[in-house]
Amino acid sequence: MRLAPKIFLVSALVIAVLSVAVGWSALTVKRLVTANQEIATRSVPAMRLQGSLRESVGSLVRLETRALVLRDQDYAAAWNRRTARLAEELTALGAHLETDAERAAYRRIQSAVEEYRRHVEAERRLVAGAQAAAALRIAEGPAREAIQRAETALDEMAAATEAALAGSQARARALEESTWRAVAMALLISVATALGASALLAYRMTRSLGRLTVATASLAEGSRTGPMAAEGRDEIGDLGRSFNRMAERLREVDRLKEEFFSQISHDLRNPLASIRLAAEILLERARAAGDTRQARFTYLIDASAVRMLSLVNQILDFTRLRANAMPLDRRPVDVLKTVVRAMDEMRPLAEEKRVRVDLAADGGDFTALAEEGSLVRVVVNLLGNAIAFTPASGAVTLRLTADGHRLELQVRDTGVGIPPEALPGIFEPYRQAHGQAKGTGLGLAVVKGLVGAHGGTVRVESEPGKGSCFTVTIPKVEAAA
Amino acid sequence: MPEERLARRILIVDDDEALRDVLTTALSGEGREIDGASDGTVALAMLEQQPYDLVLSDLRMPCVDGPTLYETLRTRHRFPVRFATKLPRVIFMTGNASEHTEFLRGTTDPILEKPFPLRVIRQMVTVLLAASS
Repeated sequence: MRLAPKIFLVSALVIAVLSVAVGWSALTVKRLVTANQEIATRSVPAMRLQGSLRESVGSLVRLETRALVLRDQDYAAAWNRRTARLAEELTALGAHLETDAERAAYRRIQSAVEEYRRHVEAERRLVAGAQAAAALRIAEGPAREAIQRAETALDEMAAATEAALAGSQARARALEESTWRAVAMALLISVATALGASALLAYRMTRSLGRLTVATASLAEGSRTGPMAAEGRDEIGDLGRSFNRMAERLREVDRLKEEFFSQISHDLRNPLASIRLAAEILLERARAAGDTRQARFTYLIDASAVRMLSLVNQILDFTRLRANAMPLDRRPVDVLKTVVRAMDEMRPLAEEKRVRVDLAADGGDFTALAEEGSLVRVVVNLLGNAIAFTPASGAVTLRLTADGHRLELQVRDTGVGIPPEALPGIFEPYRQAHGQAKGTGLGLAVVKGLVGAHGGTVRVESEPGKGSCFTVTIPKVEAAA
Repeated sequence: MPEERLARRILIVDDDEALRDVLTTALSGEGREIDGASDGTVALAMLEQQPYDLVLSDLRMPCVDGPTLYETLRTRHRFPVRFATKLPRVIFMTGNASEHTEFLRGTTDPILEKPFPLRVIRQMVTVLLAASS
C-alpha cells in the first residue's frame, strides 16, 4: 500500500475511534440529563401540588364551620370554589404519581375528600330543614373524621414522594459517576488507539528509512556489497529499490573506472618498461665499449624514463583518487621494510645529487594494515621532493616511530625550505611552492590523498633556508585485529 | 653431461612485442634459449610442444590472460601421463599491481611491476633457473 492511503487509513481509524468515544459519551450524558429532568418535572410539581392540597383542606374546614355557624351564603360559595379547586389539584397530582405508595395514598385522599363532600351536602340539607344541631353534629363528627383521613393520606403521600425523590437523586448520583467513568474510559481507549496506530505507522516508516540510512552510509564508505532488503509497496519500498539500482549502477561505474585506469596504467607503463630495459642494455654495452658519449645519452634516456614513470604514477594516482577509483588492498605491512624499499628506489637520484639519506627507527613493531604500493608512493614522493630541494652535500633524514596505536614517519631535509605564504596550500593539487615548471604539482596532493585513504594525516613544518619536515601519521591498530 | 641439459628454456609471454624483444636480449646468454608468445593461447600451444624451465608472463593480455594461462598450466599438469614435464616456474609482470589482486594474493610466484630495473629481472631469472635445475 502507498504511503498516502496508509496515513489516510490511520487518520480515519483515529477519527472513527474518537467519534465512537464521543457518541458513547453523549449517550451516557443524555441518560444523566434525563434522570435530572425526571426529578425536576415530576417530583418538584408533585410536592408543590401536595402543599397546595394541604392548604385547601385546612381552609375547607374553616369555610364549612363559618358557613354552618353564621349561615352566611358567601362562605358556602367560597367553600364550593375551594372544593372545585381541590378537585382540579387532585386531578393534576394524579399525573405525577410514580410509586405504589403514592398511588394508594392518592386513592385514600380521593375517597376521604369525596366522603367529606357528601357530609357537607348532608349538613346543608339539614340546615335548610332548620336542623342546625344535627348538621353541627355531622360537621364535628363524620365530616371532621373524613377530612382528617384526607390530611393523614396527604402526609403519607408526601413521605412516599420524598422517598421516591431520594431514590431518584441517588440513582442520578450513581449515573453521574458511571457517566464520567465511561467518558474517561472512552477518551483513554481512543487516545491509546490513536497513539498505537500512529506509533506503528511511524515505526514501520522509520525502520525502513533507518535501513536506508545505514545502507547509504555504508555505500558512502564503500563497504556495502549486497543489495539492502526493500520490502513494501509504498514509496519507501520504491526508494529502497531505487537505492539498490543506484548502488548496483555505482558498483558498475566503479568497476568500469577500475578497468579504465587499469588499462591506462598498463598502456603507459608497458612502453616505459621497454624503454628502460633497452636503455639499460645499451648503457651496459656503451660502458663495455668505453663509448662515454653513447653511455651519457643512454643514461639520459633511462633517467628520462624514470622521471616520466614518476609523473605517470603521480597523474594516475591523483586521477584515481579524484575519481574515487582507488580501492585499497590493505594487508599487514612492515612499514620499515616499505620505507627501505622506497629509499632503494630513490637512491640513484640521491647519489646523483650527492644528498645523504639516513633512516632511524624507534620502536619494535612497525606493522600496519595498509597497501604497500601506496605507502611506497607516499615515501617516494616525499623523499623525491626532499632530495630535489636539498643542495649537494645536504642530508635527508627519515625517522620512523611506532607510537602506541600509530606510526609516524618524518622526512626532514636540509634544503631550501618552503616560503611561509606557500605553506597553507602546499597539499593542494597543481601548487608548486617554488614556482618551478618541473613536476606535475600533484606529488603532495597524492601523498595527502593516499595517507587520508589509510585514515592518517600529513603535516609540514618549514623554515626557508634551513629545510622542511613532513610528518605522516597512520593508524596501526587494525593490523592487530 | 649432455649439452641439452645445460640449455635453459625461457618463454616470454607479453602482447608488447618491443618488451619481448628487449627482454629476449636482456636475458639471453649463458646457454639460454628464449622464445616469445604474444598471448596466452600461443604460449599454451608452445608449452604443449616443448618444455620450458621458466615462463615470464604479463597479466593483462588479449584472449587468454596471465591468470588463465597459469590456471590452465596447473590443470594440465595434474595429468602427468600426457605432460611428462614438470610445471615451469613463472614470473608475473604487470603494469598495474592493483588488478588481479585475488589471483596475486593466491599465488606464491614472484610478481614484478613494470617498469622494473634490468638487474632485478636478471637476478630473479638466474635464481629461479638455478632453483629449477
